[in-house]
Amino acid sequence: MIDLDANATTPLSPQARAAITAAMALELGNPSSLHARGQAARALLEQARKAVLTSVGGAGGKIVFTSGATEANALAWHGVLTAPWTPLPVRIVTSAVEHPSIGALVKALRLRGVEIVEVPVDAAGQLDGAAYAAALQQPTTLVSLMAVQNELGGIYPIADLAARAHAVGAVFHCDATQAPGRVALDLNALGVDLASLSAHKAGGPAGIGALWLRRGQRLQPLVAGHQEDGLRGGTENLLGAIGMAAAFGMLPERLAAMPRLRQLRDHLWQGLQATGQVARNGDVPPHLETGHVLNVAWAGVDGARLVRALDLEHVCVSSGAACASGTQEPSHVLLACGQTAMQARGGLRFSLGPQTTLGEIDRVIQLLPSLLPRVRGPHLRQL
Amino acid sequence: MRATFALMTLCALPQTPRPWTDLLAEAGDTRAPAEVVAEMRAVMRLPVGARVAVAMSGGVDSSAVAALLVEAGYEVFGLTARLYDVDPAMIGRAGTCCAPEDARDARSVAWSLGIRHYTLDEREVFARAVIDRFVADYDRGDTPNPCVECNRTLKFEVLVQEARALGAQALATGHYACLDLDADGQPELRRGADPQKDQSYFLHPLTADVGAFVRFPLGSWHKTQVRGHAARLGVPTAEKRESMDVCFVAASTPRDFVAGQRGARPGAIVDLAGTQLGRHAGIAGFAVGQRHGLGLPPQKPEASPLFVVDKRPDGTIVVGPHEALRATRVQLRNLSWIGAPPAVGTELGLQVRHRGKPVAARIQESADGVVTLTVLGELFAAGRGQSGVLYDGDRVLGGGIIAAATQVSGETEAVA
Repeated sequence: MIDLDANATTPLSPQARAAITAAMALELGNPSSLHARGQAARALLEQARKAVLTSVGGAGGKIVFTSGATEANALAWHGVLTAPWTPLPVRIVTSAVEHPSIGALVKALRLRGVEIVEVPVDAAGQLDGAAYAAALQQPTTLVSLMAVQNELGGIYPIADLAARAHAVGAVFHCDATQAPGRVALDLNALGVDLASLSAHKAGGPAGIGALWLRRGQRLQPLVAGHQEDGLRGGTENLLGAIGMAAAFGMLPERLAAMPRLRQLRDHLWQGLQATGQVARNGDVPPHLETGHVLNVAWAGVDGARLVRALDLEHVCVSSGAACASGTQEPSHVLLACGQTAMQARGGLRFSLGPQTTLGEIDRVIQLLPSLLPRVRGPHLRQL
Repeated sequence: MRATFALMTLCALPQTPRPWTDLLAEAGDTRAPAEVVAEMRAVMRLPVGARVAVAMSGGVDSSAVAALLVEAGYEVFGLTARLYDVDPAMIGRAGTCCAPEDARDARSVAWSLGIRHYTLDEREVFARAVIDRFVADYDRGDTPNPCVECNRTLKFEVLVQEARALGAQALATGHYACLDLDADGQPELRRGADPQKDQSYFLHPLTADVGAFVRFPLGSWHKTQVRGHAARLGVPTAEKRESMDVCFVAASTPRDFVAGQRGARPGAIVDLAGTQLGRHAGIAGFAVGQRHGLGLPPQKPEASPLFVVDKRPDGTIVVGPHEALRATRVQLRNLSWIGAPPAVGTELGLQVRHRGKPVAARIQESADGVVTLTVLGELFAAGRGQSGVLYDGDRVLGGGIIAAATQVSGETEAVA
């Protein structure tokens, strides 16, 4: 199996596996319990919290463990918007290319009358700076923008965006899900107020993530309870937190692998160009993208169909749009880039991980010319 | 792959109510697994290891096909088409097909078999090719057969195209019909061996090209055997209920469904002479040949019973005595032949409804896509919009949609 879908999830790192396995043998208690087992669990949990905090340059701030970045996004939004100290009416500025978990919040809040501005992007998926400035002309409660675009690999200038949001008094939330291990992440230096993190995009287990809060940032909890300083109720996912801490301990190593992944990605793109009639989505100068993502579309090829064809050849990629439940909407990111629904259905995303080898990339380059003629075949939906 | 999914298999497997050996004994099926494997390979006409797609609905038949082909050594993957968005009122209702929960069933069967499974989003195609046509046909007085259109478009075009695009050598389905190559290498579609399950009537839109690519491995099987072997192979839906209704109206009736799309179209009920006898709430609620539920005032006891004999495009329903349902000439449109078109004058069997009996008929005229037949036997209530399928014995030669069914006596024609 060749896994080129690192932006969907990454294999559990040996460090995370070892840490979780070791912790499972310890017969740990509930971190809230007063007895020895509880205290041991609490000690491990706080160690994990500190390790995660440090690994993302967040010292001085606070890590609130959640079930993942989706929950962290929801906690950040609701935590700011529903707080009794937040003046009404609230107004939000976000972008048109955020993760669907943000898209779902936008949809739900708009139904309740909340004003939300989605900053557009250019054809390559980069934020429209002028539109962002215009959006901030009016009083704004919350700005929420992602650090690394999950479908295209584009990097957004979070430090600058956050500074401009602060200049108008808005709270700045950054969905940093795809950032750890892909870009050097220093949350304090970025100047954001809130940042969503996920373990499984960087070698940790799925089911654990965190919301980081800048020192002094207040928040209304989404799930009531005394845990996590009253910011997230429910007995803590200790094994998850341990796995996340162990994985995030390896972020420097993952980051060190990025230049190699960029070389492999460029090699892949070069090889694929030889197949003809192929265009790259999100093609921006190297400093504006992570280097581990290649989003391409072949003329007349349905991206989801090509995902299936590659899967049958034991290659895992993503079409950024397909959902296992059987509804296949065109990628909202490619639509936001100005593509037609048909073009947006063509997008195919390769995302490389530290385990990716040159041999795997060469195998994919060799495979595609044999698949393309038949996947180009008729497709009633596009007629 | 198998090892990966072993846990899911354990989770997904319900307690089989009866051991499969009992089921097979009841079915009178004494075949050893090796014989079944040999039979599958013969039906598939493909070397072991060949890649084949299975159209999986989530039901027992297509699940059994997938399991049998895995057992026979093929590289099997499943395809399920997502056809429509489900009305929340319909969720949990048995007797549907291709709804999201059926796609989930198909996926869990595929997982338990250790094969890949893909759900295709074909809501647009289905809406255009099947639902819109269904509504328009009903609205103009026809009684359409959406299952035929679904086979024509979704199975024989969409799934065939997808299977080919994914490198499959064949697309297998769980239909009860026999599909082989004849001595000339041409596809030969015959009735399924189980008379209760024979689906050949619905499969007439098969073309020669598609017929050479598609396989119906259950054609020679009885349903009881399928259940037995599904259980033997651990298919979790082995005891699932049958799907019978028109899937996308399952929570409703055709009349309400069409009314919901087009607005109810009430109209007059008239006799053959044009005298109004009553009113009705919408023509989609009626079928040619229907006797009950017309809502007419009670007739005199000695009067002959009244049947729906025509549904006019203007919404008028014509009723008449049983004799008025007789058709002596039938015209079929959208006609396709599986092999070479038979010559004018050829005698064959015309079947106008699922589970109907074929009636002797002779080809009177045959042009591109349109055939006119002279009915030689007794044919009643051939409703416009239904399929007219042409059989030679148990072999399906082709079929089309009934465009007109008329009574011809000498030079005069009466509407029937």
